[in-house]
Amino acid sequence: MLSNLLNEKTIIINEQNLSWEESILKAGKPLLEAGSITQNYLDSIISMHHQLGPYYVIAPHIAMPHSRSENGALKLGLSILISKKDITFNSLENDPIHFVFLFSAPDNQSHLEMLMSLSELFSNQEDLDAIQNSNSIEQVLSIINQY
Amino acid sequence: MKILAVCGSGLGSSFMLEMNIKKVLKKLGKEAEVNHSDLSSVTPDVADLFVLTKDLAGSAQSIPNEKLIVLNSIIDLNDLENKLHDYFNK
Repeated sequence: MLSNLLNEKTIIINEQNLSWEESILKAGKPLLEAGSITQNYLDSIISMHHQLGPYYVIAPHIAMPHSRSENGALKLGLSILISKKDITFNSLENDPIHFVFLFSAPDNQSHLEMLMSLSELFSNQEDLDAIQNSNSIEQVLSIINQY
Repeated sequence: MKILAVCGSGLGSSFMLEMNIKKVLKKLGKEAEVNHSDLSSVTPDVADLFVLTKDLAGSAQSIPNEKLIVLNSIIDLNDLENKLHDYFNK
């Protein structure tokens, strides 16, 4: 399921120092280019973060930024930014972040299967570690393809 | 008994959380109606128990503490199981 959404454009291995805003924009770029989201979608995530705090940081080292469909989610989309450098999201318990899984869902149903697959991946620490240590997109895809 | 998983948008983490709550309830042999929702549409009377992440807890001050379970991680099933177990055995 996840391999239907991910390819060499939507998987980003990052080696730069990024702020949380920069990491969201960087992860969102391939989805913007694919026409899955509008710029407003990314802006709404950032403004909701300013309002609520890092609401999409769901577990240690994992951020899953997303917004409501009416904010500019045009198609079902997923991108993964794997960061070799720590990113600070101001999440007391779950910083530093190493994974940014950015998704867009045009309605309330189409993304549920994707979330179930992601949930399985998140519960497999070994595979997450292997993704974190990957040096090529092929390596990442070979793990992702199991989900 | 109604349990509501809550997140900022009501479409991402709260759904994952709902799945995990259902998994843990099954293991504990408890029955409840589990749903998910976004924070802005939550009022204290819509469920008996609210489950959310720590990063959102500060924004959910209208919900009384005894109706609240706060998690660091929505994928840590052990933590969720311990907290639900404590809730049912209060």
